[in-house]
Amino acid sequence: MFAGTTRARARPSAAAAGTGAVPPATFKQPDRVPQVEAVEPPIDTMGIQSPFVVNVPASEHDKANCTNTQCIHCGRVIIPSPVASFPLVETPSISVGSWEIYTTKQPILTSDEIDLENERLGIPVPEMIFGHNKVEIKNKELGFSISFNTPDALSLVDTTGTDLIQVSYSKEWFSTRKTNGEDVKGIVKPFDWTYSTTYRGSLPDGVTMEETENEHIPLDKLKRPDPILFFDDMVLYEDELGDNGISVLSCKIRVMSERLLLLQRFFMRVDNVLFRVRDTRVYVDFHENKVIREYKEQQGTHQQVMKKISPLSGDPRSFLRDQNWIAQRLPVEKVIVDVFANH
Amino acid sequence: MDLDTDVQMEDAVGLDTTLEEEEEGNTSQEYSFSNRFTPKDGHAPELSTSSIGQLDEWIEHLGKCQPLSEENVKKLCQMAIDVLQFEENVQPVQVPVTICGDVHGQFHDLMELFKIGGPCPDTNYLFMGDYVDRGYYSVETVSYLVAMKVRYPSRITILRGNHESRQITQVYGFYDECLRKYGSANVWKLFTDLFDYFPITALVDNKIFCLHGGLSPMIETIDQVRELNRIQEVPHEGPMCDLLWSDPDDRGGWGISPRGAGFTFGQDISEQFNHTNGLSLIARAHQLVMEGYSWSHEEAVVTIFSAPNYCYRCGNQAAIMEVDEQHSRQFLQYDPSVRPGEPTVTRKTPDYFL
Repeated sequence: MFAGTTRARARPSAAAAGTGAVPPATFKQPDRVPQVEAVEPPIDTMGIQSPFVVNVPASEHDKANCTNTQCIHCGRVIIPSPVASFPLVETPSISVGSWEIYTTKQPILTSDEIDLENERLGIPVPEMIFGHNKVEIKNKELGFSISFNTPDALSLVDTTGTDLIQVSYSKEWFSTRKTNGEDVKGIVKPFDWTYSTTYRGSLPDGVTMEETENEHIPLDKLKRPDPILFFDDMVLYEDELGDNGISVLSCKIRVMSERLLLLQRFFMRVDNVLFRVRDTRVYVDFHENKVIREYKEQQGTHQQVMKKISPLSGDPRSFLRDQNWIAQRLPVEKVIVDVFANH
Repeated sequence: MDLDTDVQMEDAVGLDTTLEEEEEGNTSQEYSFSNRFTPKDGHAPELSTSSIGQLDEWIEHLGKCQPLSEENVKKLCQMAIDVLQFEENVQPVQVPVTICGDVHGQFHDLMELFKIGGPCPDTNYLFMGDYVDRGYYSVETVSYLVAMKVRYPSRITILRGNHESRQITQVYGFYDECLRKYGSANVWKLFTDLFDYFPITALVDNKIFCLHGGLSPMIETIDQVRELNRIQEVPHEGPMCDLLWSDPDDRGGWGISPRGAGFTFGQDISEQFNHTNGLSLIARAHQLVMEGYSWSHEEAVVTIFSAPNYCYRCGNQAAIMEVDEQHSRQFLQYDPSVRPGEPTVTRKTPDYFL
């Protein structure tokens, strides 16, 4: 037969990144901000001197592999990098004292990578799988590290198909399928097609966190408008559920000079059926060298959520797409808090 | 994918976004015809010189990513119905032709597609649906393609995708975009009424069967597709639904999605269908693939996806498939169009999330 050939437009090779060979930056600098260049830390951030030494990239990070520099104006790490180009690969990092923070963002997996991942999991991976994306928080001195990555999150998706959620028109669909003993095999390999995960991050062997009922993430400290030195936001995986809603696992992190907060959120909406939110928050206090992790499961039916929308507030669909709005209104079903402290 | 609602869109500013309450529920009833659809005999009326002038003007305007006025959209849709109602459920297409997959409102990437594949009408094009939703420029994208269709009806074929539907566009963006850009749902209604006329499949030189989704257990021969009544909202069930929704799968035979609706078809099914109908290939779209195209079923089926960096963040390549007079195929892959002043990646302002 006819073999498929490829006349591809050459992509810039990964090796070219960071050299003069990269295409023009797609990031437009505001006029008032001077040309961005790397600065030696520690730097003054909006007049507030950090009590810890700040390094960008992180002190352990090879500078040749990191094009995300600090803005000399505000001190924040620039993400995406000013030299970002397709295919997008970003590996910014920062260290504050002995705490190191790394994030990685890459395109979705290639077909070959997807085949391997399908085989490993035993189920088809989500449609948009950012298999290389991850966030890592490390402290070598304390022997602590936690990471949030896609493969580990997917490993916790149910592959047996117990308690299958069905789309709203499933009955209608099945009712018209009585085609005289059709050789349709039925649901061949049931699994949780919403990709709901109980993932709370990955701890390496030997690192443990203790469950507690007395500790909570100190919201008052996080509400302070401390300058953000590092902010990143990424999707680990996402599936449009065959246009029946959305499932998305995303992760964002903000690092200030004295603390950081990470939020990993699983958000699911099966149109006209069910909402699900599973949040994992990780708080690190750089003074106390203490980590608090809080995991919360929430769930509610479409009808429950619709009851909370005022009939006067206009289009209900915009509320149904607003993850924060939904998360504030879904009943909480489970909370687990655990801590890592420097003894 | 839900687009980030906190990303300010330039076109969202200053327009009336008052919502018109749409009737919920089944619109399919009022749009389904009891009689099967037969394309009208004869041909679409010849374009007058003034119509050609008007279309060229609209195409130039749309080419700058500027939407037409509501009044002109109405005229355009009426002209398009005059053309599409003569097309068949299985629209015959001659080689050479360039076959394209999902575009999803990524207007600038559609312009890139025409740069990579060659300008229309010098190059013949076949699009396999999903012009709207997800991207920021569904209105401009679908207006442009429909205007090209009316202007060069024998040079470009536009099939229907599962997103060319009233129900889906209300959830995934096109409806909201019409409200933002026109201040009412009129343009959305004009287009979704037009979508009912789009052909659902095409047959390239009797050898390549093209459609948005995939096969249906209720369809064994291409003639059975010709029997369908297509002028209706995409139904939730039946063969027309399957043709726009189903997916190939590694498992043999027919499978049902664990979602509780929708079919998957295996290699045995594809091979039997190609054999029965004397085909060499089934070309379809509907699924995101990192490389822009992907073979399944030992080259009995190809998936083509033409929206690079889908939803402005997947980082995938896009592809189109050229089929020449000798039926040899060539895939052209391309990256997103890079435009100065507009980030090609979603840039978020740091926020004090809790």
